Amino acid sequence: MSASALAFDKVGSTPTENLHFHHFDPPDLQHNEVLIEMIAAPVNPQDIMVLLGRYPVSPSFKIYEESIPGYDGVARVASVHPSVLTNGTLKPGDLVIPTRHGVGTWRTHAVLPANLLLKISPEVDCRIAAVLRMGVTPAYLLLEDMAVLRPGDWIIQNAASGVIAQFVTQFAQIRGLHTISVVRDREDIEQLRAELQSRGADIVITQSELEAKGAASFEKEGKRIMLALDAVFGHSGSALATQLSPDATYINYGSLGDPQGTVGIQITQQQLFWKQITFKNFRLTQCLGMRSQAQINDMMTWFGELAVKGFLQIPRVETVQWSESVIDLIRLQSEDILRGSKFTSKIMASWDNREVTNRHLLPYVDAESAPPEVAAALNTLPFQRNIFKLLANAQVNFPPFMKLLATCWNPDLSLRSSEYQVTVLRTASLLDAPYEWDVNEPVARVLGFDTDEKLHLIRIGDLSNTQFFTPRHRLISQMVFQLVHDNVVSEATMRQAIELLGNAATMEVMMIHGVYSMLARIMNSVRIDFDPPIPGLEDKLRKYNAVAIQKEKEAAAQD
Amino acid sequence: MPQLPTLRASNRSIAALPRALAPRHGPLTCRRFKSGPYGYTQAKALVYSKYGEPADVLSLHTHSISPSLPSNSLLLRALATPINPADINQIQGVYPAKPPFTSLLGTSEPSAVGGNEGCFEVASVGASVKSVSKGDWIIMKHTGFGTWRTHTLAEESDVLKVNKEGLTPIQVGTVSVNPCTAYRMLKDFEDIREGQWFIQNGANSGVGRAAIQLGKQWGLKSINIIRDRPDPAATEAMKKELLELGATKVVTESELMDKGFADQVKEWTNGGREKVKIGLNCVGGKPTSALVKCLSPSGHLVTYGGMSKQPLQLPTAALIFKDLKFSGFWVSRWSDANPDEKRRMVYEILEMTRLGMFKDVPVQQLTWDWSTEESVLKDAVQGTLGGFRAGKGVFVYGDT
Ligand SMILES: NC(=O)c1ccc[n+]([C@@H]2O[C@H](COP(=O)([O-])OP(=O)(O)OC[C@H]3O[C@@H](n4cnc5c(N)ncnc54)[C@H](OP(=O)(O)O)[C@@H]3O)[C@@H](O)[C@H]2O)c1
Ligand SMILES: NC(=O)c1ccc[n+]([C@@H]2O[C@H](COP(=O)([O-])OP(=O)(O)OC[C@H]3O[C@@H](n4cnc5c(N)ncnc54)[C@H](OP(=O)(O)O)[C@@H]3O)[C@@H](O)[C@H]2O)c1
Repeated sequence: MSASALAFDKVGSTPTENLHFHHFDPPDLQHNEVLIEMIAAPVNPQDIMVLLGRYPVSPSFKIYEESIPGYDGVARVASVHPSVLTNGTLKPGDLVIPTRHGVGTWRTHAVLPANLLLKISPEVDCRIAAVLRMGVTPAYLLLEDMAVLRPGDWIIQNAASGVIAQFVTQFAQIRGLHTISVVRDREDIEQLRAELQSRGADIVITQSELEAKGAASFEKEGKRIMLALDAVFGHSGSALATQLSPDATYINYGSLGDPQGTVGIQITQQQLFWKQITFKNFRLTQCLGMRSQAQINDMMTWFGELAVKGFLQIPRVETVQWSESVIDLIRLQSEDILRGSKFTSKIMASWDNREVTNRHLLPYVDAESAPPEVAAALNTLPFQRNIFKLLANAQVNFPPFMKLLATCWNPDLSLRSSEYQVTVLRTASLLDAPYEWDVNEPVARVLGFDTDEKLHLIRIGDLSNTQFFTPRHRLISQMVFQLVHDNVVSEATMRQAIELLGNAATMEVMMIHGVYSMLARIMNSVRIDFDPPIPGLEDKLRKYNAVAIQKEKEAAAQD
Repeated sequence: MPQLPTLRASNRSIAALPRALAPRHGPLTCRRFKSGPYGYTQAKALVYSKYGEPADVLSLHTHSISPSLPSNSLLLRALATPINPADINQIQGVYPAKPPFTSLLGTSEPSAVGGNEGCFEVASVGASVKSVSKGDWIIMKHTGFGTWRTHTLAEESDVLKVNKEGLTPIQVGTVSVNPCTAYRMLKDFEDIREGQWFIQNGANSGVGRAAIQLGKQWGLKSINIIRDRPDPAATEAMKKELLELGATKVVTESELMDKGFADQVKEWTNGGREKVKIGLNCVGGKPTSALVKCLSPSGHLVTYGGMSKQPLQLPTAALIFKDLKFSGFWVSRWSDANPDEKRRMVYEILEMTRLGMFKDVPVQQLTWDWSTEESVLKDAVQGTLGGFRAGKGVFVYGDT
């Protein structure tokens, strides 16, 4: 078995300078121990603080004398010591999360005492499970422990595109509270606004819009703003405080905007003594410390249930494949956080569990045993993919569908092949279809999106870089967004599209999006498994798409 | 609410102490007051009809009060009413509690009477009044009554009777705002115990002195910050005065702002083992940020005034790494919400006063007689705004 882990030998002046990627063999199981395989683990702002030696809890586990960071994540139990089976807590296949800070989740495998793991419902989406501890839990406790709130009360929060804030919004909804979500100014604010509102934010407002409104402006509209949740500090935090109603509470839980602590926040006498606003700090460890381990476990279990019932939606995260190169991503992410760069979404490393997943709900149809017409359709591409084997269950629809599908990359389209890929990849990420992304990413690479950075930007929907993306790319991305979110492209966008893309390409974008959104929904619904690696895939793709690649090159040269 | 700190052993014997120790004052009860024709009482009040500087907007208004009292009413005669900073802010219109302007006193414009606390003597009572009788002393249950007046009518439910035995009108007239504020701030915000510390600025204010003395009674140690006086000798005298009141340490603002001050505090508090749990702030601005640095982790800064008019700047470190809390306290709101506890506390403080355990604040008395000129009264009010005063202004009513 090849296990790997990230570990650091000492705290650094930058988070990743002492971070190393190690291969190791997991040790044999001892009494009460469990071997787990990680499924996903996020890179949280706290993890970066840990790497910088600025977090109060240090990692508890080491590899080759180096500390393993990562305090959040989800894993599957691979095997357990017989003693664990007898006391019945965990068994192979269980989905588990850490019960303590410091467990060290940035690794593929870990051997841990059973009591450091909490079993959660196997149905919880892994991306929620992976942030239960550092994302969902603080959000819940911020509303539960820090102030008395009543249905109809309002909360104002900044860093509202962050994971914690998104869960705050969702818990607020459950409790009948309303939220004003403050985000940093950005160009694509409407897109973010729509996204946060779709997860329950009542009002989404940018920092400058908030400042323009002036103090107590929401209160004047009759809203009781009883809680401010500040993860930014500095001016942004002060601005939240000015909106609070009498007897409200201001809570700080992060200092993203003032990491050096130079600005601070300003409190007026009026806020303190007339309005009797209390200013205090939130500490996750402290709130957890007031609960017994059993209470904490019950709370996490309940969060899992909420997720399964659909009360907690997956926040905006970007999933990346676990490999040695995650160090680079962590470096970029942490630089962004420390520099205060905008619009980073949380990255989450995910482990390739191809050999273990076998969860598909419909059978994979085999070309050999299928009727000839179906078998022919299955061989449309020079390699096999699980998605086609699943589609083939619909024997009548499948063959003509494959013909339609093949038109999407037909070199005679008026749409360029890189534009086709933007349509497909944006569809995959907006509809949260990792499989669709996974099979198309290699295609995108041969069609010109040849770096991790370009793909990363497509994944998060930021196509503002004019070196990498054309105005046509941006417009297509906008069309896809509107289709996914509003089920309709706005008239203004349509007119722009007809102007910029022409009639044919405009229609092609919408048809391709239709095809791939159908595929995305099917993939997710039938719980498709990732394909096994396809040897020589890139060459095959280059050969198969030779004409398209050539055309794309010529077009790019003209731009 | 946190538990009340345990009283020190010496307090248990309150009842046993001979009354003779307490200050005694001649009876003020039997004086006649100005009567108009048909038994009407002639009254004067300092009123204002619009917000502004006291010197500009206050005026002395004369009116008369009918001798036929409504059955649940009392006729009161003022004995002593202080001039507190909040009273000035209220007149300036920069205070959250705004009294209603009414025409009840027959002023040409609707007006409000200045002042929020004081000691009154009951001159006569309406037919159904039971709880107080002629000659009793009372204070107002709530702020906002308007106390800068020689006489007034009040309802029985407005007033709290106090046992005047062994007390002066000034002691009774200044009990309900400042000592009560100090009392609540030390008791209600943190579970502070004997041997632990609090730190406060404005230590020579009415509230500050009350906190020093209550703290001493309750076994708390205190770090007290005063402003540097222009004359160093005056600074030393002030330090000495507060130490005698029961302050553990007294320092000036400039000593507080000194780099080494945090180490000094550490030394005083046994290397930080004795917690500095509460900070009391009536100043704001930079010196308050310095005060905040002296609080122990998880400490609590309670703000109750803003004498310097500067906002508070909270460094990241304070909130996040030291887990400090920041709250405000406003005694009027508290009193309205807790009338029973308010009464109990007033009686407790007055009892301490009788026993000589709670010293009078230094005051500058201004005698308000029937003949006192408006300008003299207004000057007294306006004068409260200056710093470095020898004492709090109090109207003491003479021949009214
Ligand atoms: N006190 C505790 O016990 C505790 C526990 C858990 C987490 N935390 C803290 O909670 C905070 C949020 O955590 P998270 O996991 O939700 O983070 P996250 O998902 O990584 O999101 C961070 C969010 O903050 C925004 N942001 C980043 N820098 C900013 C700046 N300089 N000004 C304004 N907004 C900025 C980003 O918005 P854009 O979209 O504009 O980039 C992003 O949406 C972190 O500071 C973390 O340390 C504290
Ligand atoms: N929140 C409440 O419920 C409540 C209740 C009572 C009082 N208060 C407030 O508490 C404060 C003190 O009231 P008090 O009746 O005790 O006052 P006080 O006895 O009249 O004393 C005033 C105090 O303020 C200080 N001071 C004046 N100007 C200052 C400045 N610019 N910077 C720093 N200090 C200054 C004085 O110090 P120097 O001797 O150095 O001039 C003195 O210590 C006022 O702000 C008042 O409104 C609030």
